[in-house]
Amino acid sequence: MDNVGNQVLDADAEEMLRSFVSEAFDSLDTNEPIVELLREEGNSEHVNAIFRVFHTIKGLSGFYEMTVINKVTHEAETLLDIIRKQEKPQSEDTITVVYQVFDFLRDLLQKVSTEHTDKSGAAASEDMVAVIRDMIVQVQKNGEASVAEIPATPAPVPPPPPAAPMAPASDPTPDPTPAAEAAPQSEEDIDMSAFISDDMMNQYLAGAADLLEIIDKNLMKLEKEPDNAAMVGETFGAVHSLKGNSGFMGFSEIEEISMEVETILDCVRNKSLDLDANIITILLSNTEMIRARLDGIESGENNADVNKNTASAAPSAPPEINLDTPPAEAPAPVATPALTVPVAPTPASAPVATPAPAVPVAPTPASAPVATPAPAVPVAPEPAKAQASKSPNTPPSMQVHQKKDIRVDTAKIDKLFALVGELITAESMVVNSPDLKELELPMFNKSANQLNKISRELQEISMSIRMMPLDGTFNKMKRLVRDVSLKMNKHIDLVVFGEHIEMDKNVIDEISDPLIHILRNSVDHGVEDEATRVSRGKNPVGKVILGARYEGNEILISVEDDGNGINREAVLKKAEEKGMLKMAPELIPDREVFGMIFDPGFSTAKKVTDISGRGVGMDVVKKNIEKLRGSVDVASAYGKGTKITFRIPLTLAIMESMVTRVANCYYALPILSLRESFRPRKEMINMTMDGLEVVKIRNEILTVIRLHEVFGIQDSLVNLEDGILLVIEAKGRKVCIFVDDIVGQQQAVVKGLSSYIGKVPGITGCMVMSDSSIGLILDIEGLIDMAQIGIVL
Amino acid sequence: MEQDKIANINDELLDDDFQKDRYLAFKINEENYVIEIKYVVEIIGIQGVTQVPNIADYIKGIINIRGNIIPVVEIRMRFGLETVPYTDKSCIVVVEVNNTSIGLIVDEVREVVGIPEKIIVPPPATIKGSGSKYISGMGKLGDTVYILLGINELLYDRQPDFEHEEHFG
Repeated sequence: MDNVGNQVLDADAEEMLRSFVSEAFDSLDTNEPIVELLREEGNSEHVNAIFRVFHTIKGLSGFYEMTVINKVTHEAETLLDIIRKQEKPQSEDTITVVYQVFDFLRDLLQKVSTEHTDKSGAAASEDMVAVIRDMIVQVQKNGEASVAEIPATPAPVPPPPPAAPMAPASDPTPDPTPAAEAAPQSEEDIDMSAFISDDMMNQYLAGAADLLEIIDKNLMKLEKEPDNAAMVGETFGAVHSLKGNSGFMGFSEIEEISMEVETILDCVRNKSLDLDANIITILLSNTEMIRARLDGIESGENNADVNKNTASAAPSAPPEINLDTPPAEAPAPVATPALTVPVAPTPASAPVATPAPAVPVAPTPASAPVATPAPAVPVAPEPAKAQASKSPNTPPSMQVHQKKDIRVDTAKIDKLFALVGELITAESMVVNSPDLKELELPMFNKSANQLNKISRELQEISMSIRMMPLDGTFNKMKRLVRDVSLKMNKHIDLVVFGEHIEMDKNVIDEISDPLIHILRNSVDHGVEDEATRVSRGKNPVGKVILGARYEGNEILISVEDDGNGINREAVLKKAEEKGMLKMAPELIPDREVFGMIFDPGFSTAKKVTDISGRGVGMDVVKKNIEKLRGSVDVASAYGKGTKITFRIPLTLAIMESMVTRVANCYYALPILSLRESFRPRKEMINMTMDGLEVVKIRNEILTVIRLHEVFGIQDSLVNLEDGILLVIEAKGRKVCIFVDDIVGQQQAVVKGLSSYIGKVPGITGCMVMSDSSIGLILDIEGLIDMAQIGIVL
Repeated sequence: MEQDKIANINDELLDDDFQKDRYLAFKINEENYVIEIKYVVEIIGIQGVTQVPNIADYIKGIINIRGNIIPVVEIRMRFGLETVPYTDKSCIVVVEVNNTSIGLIVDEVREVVGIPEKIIVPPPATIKGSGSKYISGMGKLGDTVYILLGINELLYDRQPDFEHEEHFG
């Protein structure tokens, strides 16, 4: 229906296509969790949300000539429409089909993003459509069966509405036009407002603002190149979507204004109207009106209020000129129906009481039926008192309705982030410059403090930009658990908490795969089948808990199941076969035994069914988490369940560090892992017969790690009594490290060692010091591991 | 003097248009080596290199160039030559390969030279020393023989086993 004509892929078109794909993906992702809610009673809000997803994508795809997507979403829309009318909790099968459609659409969108067309999905779409159609029939059957239960007449206005009181089964293929058009307007108005959640409203508003912007932009372009048919088509499509969405949301005014614009554009498209400056002005003034309405809606006024306000705002404007009969060949723009400029709001009964200022009336005002002595305001000079005194030519950026969010390429944000890091380093170089040493600089210090405050704030904000709540990822996991459990024929109760916790987007991307892996393992191998569970006296429904919480400077993300648990003996046996045991098995604490399942050597095992099959690819999980400077903990009770916890540092990039020196090398460690530092006295130090140095502090005996030995540094101090010992702790294990001296505390912008160097034992990264030299950041856990291996050997 | 030369070469490097057949020439142990100019980002003077423990010995360490951490390869070590103290002519040639910046320490940077493809000959098969695996060809301009280095081989091939070879060069 929304043919654009030729779809030449210039840069602009490609950009638009990209935004279509990303918008559609967004829409699918955001609404996917709602699908699950279809099974609940009183699901009308959710049905509508999903309906809207399909409807929007349908509209957009029509506009972009993605016929396959259009076809599929059309069918899906039909299905949802029927569901909507039934107002019943939906069966598992229906939900599965809806999920399938979601997935299928994602596939198609993926194709679009690479191939710029969805044609290659045409064949597969036949099957999809068939599946949807089957489901439509099935749903209708169910609906008929229960139609008697539904009261014949719809409840009166106020109570939560039976969406559309039409006979559910009577209309197998409802009108493909937007919902609002299909349903009686008046009812729709009332009904819909009750359905509309804040989320939907926000989405609608953001979407509408986007569309308006596109429309405005295109109109401006069209002013310069009026013969650009593709551009007209594009604009038409955007207006059409806006109309559909507004209708669906029950904003009949906006819908009607859009319709007028649509009509004009249609005339332009089929060449019955020439696009000149006047027309453009009219169109722009219409988008202006829509924008004003949107502002009204956003600021919480309901439609009626907006009406009143705008009515009083532009009282002098002429009433609506409305021609209903399209003259065949309209030479002068004025005469065409296209010009039904819904001008302003004399109490004229017109439902669309719009404040539109610009009256384009050109030479022949007489041809307008409502021949008010319309002050034939020509084009631009629009009444200043008109609403918000905006000229239609105002660039979008100056308009009142501004979007609250923008899409930004993450590369840009990363760059910003890197620059802020540099700034902080540079600042510290300036402030700690050796040139300033021993100078009295009260004013300088004051300014420096001020600078420091600003740069800290800048840093915080730039970090917060990248923070996203976990719910997106967790929603994906819900879906995963559902899919896997259905496939395995297990009943799983997934409990999720902490989805509001925010993490760096890069981190979220990195933990997604490990989480999938762990969850799949939990459902697949962890939770037993129903019979086994019953025989073990467990609840036949398995429980999996996915959660996130803060702990100190870390975020803990855990997956817990009440399934098989890990068999300690089996792991130890396997480890022994692999030659991985370094000490007597009975001495190894549980945590370390379970930790072995993450060992790459362990993972290469074909399938370790006797330990719940865990172990395949687990090393990848661990690696991914370690890349984030995090760690993985496993706790398990055989026969009772397993809990796997990812511990991930809050911020990856900035760390409070203590800088130490060994010979001429700087080594920094996270201040959080530092317990104390002291200069040892001789009597505190003991050496075992095999050369292991230990130091006794109060009641503890700690191993000493000499950094200069571990790292092969020349010319450092050798006597422990001459240097400094630092007590460091990670995950409950403590050791002492020996350094020459402590340099001081510094905020470190953590940088990776180059990928060319790869992983260095005992080092996690580096930082630029205030004198622009480089300090290496110690891998505390790695060092402690080294120390423990030392003990074993 | 030396700095002027480097500044000139750096200016030339900014000129992206004429990269074909152009090479950066530098000296190591009195021999003239060249690498394709398209890999070269800039040339900087020797600066303090932070040693990183327990890594390949030809990686001298890391340096900080305007906030970017860049590993530095000691070409002499890579060639299995003895290292010598740096002079005021020693430089770090920063190259970018596979999206990674890497610094190469050379004895001296000479100039940007144009070596037409047709005068480049394959390395003689009889070159002794395993360093020859880094050589992609040779070209003679006037009296000077330039040894073309393959940047990927130079940086990414596994460290050859020098134990059983005579030093090359």
